[in-house]
Amino acid sequence: MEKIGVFICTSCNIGDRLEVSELEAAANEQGCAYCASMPFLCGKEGVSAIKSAIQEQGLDSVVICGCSQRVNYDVFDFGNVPVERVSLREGVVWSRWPTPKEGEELPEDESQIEVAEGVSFKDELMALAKDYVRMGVVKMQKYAPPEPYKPEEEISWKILVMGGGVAGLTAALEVAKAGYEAVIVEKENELGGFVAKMKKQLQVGAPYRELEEPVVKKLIAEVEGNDKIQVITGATVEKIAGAPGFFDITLKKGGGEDQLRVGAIVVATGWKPYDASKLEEPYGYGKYPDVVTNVQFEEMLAKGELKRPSDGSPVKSVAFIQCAGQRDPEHLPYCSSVCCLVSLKQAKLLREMDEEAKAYIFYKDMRTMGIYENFYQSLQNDPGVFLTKAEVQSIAQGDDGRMVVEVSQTLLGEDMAVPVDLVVLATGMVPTTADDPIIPLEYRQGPGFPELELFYGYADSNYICFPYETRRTGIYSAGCVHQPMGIMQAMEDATGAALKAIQCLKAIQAGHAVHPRTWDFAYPEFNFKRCTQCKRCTEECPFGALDDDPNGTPMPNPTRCRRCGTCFGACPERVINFKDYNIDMVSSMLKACEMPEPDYGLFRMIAFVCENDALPALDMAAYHRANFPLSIRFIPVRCLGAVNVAWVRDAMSGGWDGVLMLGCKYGENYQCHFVKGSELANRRMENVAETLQQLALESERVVLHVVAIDEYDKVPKLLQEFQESMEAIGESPFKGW
Amino acid sequence: MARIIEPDLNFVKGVIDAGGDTLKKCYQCATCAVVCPLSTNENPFPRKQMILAQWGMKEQIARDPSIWLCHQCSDCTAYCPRGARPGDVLAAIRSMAIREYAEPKILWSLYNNPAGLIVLFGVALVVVLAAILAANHGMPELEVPVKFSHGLFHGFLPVLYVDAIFLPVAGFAALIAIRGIANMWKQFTTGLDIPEAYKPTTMEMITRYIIPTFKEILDHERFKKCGVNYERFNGHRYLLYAFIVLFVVTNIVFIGADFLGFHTPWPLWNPVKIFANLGAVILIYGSVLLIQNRKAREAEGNLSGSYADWFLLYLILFIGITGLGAEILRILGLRLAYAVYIFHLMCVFVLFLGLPFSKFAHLLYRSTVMVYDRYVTDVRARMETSAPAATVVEEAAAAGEESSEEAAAEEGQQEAQ
Repeated sequence: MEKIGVFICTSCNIGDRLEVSELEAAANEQGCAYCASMPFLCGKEGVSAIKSAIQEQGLDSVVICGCSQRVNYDVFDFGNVPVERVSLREGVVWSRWPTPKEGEELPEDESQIEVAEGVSFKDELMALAKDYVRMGVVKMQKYAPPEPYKPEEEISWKILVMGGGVAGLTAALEVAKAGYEAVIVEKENELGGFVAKMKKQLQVGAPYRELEEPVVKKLIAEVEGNDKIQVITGATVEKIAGAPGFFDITLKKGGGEDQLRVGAIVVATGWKPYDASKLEEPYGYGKYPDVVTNVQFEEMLAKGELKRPSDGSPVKSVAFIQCAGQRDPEHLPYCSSVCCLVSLKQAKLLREMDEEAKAYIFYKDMRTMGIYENFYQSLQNDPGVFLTKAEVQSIAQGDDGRMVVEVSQTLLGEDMAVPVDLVVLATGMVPTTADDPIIPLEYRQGPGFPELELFYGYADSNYICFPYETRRTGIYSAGCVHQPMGIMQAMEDATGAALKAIQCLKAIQAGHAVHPRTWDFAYPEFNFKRCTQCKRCTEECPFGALDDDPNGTPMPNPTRCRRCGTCFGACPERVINFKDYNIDMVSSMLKACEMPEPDYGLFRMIAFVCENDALPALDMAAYHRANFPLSIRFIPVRCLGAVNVAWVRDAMSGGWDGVLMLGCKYGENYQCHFVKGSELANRRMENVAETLQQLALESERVVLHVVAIDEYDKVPKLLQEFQESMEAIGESPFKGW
Repeated sequence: MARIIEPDLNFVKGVIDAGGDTLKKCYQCATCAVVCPLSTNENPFPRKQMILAQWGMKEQIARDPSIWLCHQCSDCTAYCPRGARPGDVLAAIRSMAIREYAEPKILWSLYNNPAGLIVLFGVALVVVLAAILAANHGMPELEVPVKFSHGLFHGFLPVLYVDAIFLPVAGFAALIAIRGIANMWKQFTTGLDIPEAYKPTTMEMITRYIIPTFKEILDHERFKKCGVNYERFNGHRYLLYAFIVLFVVTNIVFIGADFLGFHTPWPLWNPVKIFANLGAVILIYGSVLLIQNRKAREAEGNLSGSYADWFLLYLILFIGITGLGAEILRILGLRLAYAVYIFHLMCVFVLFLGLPFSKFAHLLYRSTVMVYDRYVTDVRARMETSAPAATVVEEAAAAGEESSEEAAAEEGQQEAQ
């Protein structure tokens, strides 16, 4: 930008602790067009002063030096005029304090406190603040306003729903209710999925105590009566090509193929029961005909015939074995979350059919999610339902032909052998995505969602922050393929996924990122002339946004892109840049900082900070008036994955003593907004080490730490330790070059 | 092979119907076992009993003496987070246990069911009226001044006719009671495997266990320790004393009138008469205290009385009121005395017959359990120090005294129920 206005706020202790006139001078030196300071910049007068300065001075951008970018962003919004925020409050005056040595009494005047030979605390504090002001101005100088990405093709507003069970039907109905078109593709010949095979289901709504007719019949009728929903049964999705907004779907129906264009996809392909044949030991499945799964028992109930498979005699007692092959590292390591309720429901149906019948439920833990505790209580009250925690020791046939369930660790304090007519194993759910990609994507990174083993094969993601999101933009999962869940939750889930699919199309229409940087109009632009076809970007993109041509040159798909900048961080040739975030910008910011002469006695460290988690943690630490070392400057980045090694090299050769990278937890239970950012940054530390070697520097000068957003209390110590380790290594030999 | 478990669904339903309708709510959090002074590490009381009852494990519950050691202080009910009301469930379980030892069971049903009330009093009325009609060869003369009998053979209801009603009834009740106690004792001691050397003689049984138990019951020490409010403890103790007094005077009068020829009514200055009237007053006072207490606790929500509880309390109250009332009316020379006397006899009839069937049976079974508890505790203690009864009698007695005192104190409290 050309005409940059710098506005320095003097409130919130900034004016008390800093020499504002010196800051103004630094801004002017750096080449801003206009500079002013005033109290309460965020107040009415402040904002209108900025607005009139923009008008009168013809400013094309502003740099607000005051509070963190995480606060008052709505106050400092000047339409088309871009705003850069320099954090003097959280970054300087609320987080840097003189520390007395033991027994020492510090003078009130910070310029009287000596922190190095001939250097006062105030000097260093001002150096820090001035560096921040300069970096802010430089950043704005290197900034170009992003333009929305406008695809050449017309967006398809149709939403494909894969699967016609409760979740799929609900998703399609919600899409239609919102005024868009939906297509349901169901591989069976009938809609309804698993719930259609049930006799009764749990009440969906208060008081959560009774059973009711399966809701799916009503949903099918609604779908069939809705002219915005097209239903294709007996068909499978063979191929998905393209990108959000314009997916080209190849369907296989009967012998033929069919083409379909959709904008977004809801995957609601559900689950299948765990293969019970693996449960012969210790449950006797396959060995004894009177040991059945909960799915088989559901079918028996739906038929209304409770006869023992072995000899056809009536079933008067049933033992339900919970967690059969679940929460078990040998089988399914997770809880399917519905089986306890399913067994309670089946016990209720059994008892309704025969009031002398006995239902035993042997559980590891009784887990009835949500308000279904009420259902549990109502069943617990039934005299014919016998509940106990238990470990199954064996299931075998007794002398009289009945099954005998032997259990230990019971609530009755003794081992028991319970004779029953039928044993029902509560086997768990396996998502359809566990061993089938389900979404046959024609992406460079292959079909299917990557790395689902983190979620036991479920099409899940980092659910705390982003429910419904998958690692393929424009494709949302709902129902039991997403997480194990009951009917009510699946309907909620489907509603959410449907709305996310619509939101995705809206974002593409507006030309900004879909998620999570929903406001972001910038996108990575490639300078193909300098590309060496190393394929790092196409391989590393966490979202499979980049395809490539036969030569290996990346082919961007901006509507798949989430703007994390992982490709930008990966590129060794630095050919990928955003309009508002590029190599030159940060390199120039590093250069804009004043580097002291050798033997100054104090250090200079730069920290690249993830703006999603680490930056708020630092801000929160500042609100607690934590103390950060004076020598560290922070530069917020999109993601740690968006830190290019070039910056590290520039920093090190520019005389910085150390580089700290603060990002999110990676690996299992990762917290990265972009799934792989901090993990990749960590992997790139090898390249960093190489760079340092070339410069003949110690590899310990560059350190990566993971910080969760709530770990603000740990940040000061972490920074202090970093500073101490730099002191141990000593000053950078590149100072003064 | 683990033990075969086949829950008795009817037992579960029985407990629920007998006032334990909250039984199934228990989810074994063990709050009750934490607040209950009877609970031990080996026997988490009443948590264990709750799940045994939920699982219809009748045999194990019947074999368990601790259900009788509970005096229903209802702390468990007050603290239960799930509203499972273990105190009430335990009362229902005890009622079921009484049924277990009762024969014929139809009588238990009559005593534990409002419909049975009409039948019982109907039978009592028929029996008393039949005796009156038989004695007088028709309608009796309602003479004034009122006289209930003229010796053994004559009058409104001659003494021998009264005996003819109550001796068989009391005998029958006593037989069933003894049978019940014997069954209970057998159930408890089966499989206990006490070595011969530790088994007491009958004399030792009486001196070491039965007599101390009686003392303990008299003192109501266990009851007092239960943390129950003073009124309940007191009321129950008064009732017990009244019953003892009335038992003694009834026997004196029985011998005096039937065998020694001292015709009733005896004058008011007669010490036996004074004693008897005092007993009646205490009986009324005690039952009023207990009724008030039970009402108050029900209002607090810590107790929900079953029919059997109220039946017994009001029966006792009516016995006291009608007994004293008949006497006063007789002295005043009002003919109404005859009717009240008949009602009094009916009540006594129902009480006597109900000894092994109504809640009154706790007198039998709780006392038995208290003896048993004393016995087992003592034997176990001696077995641990490996000192058979004969050798270290002195020492064991000294040691036993302390522990049995404590045990006694607890038992006494249950009596109050």
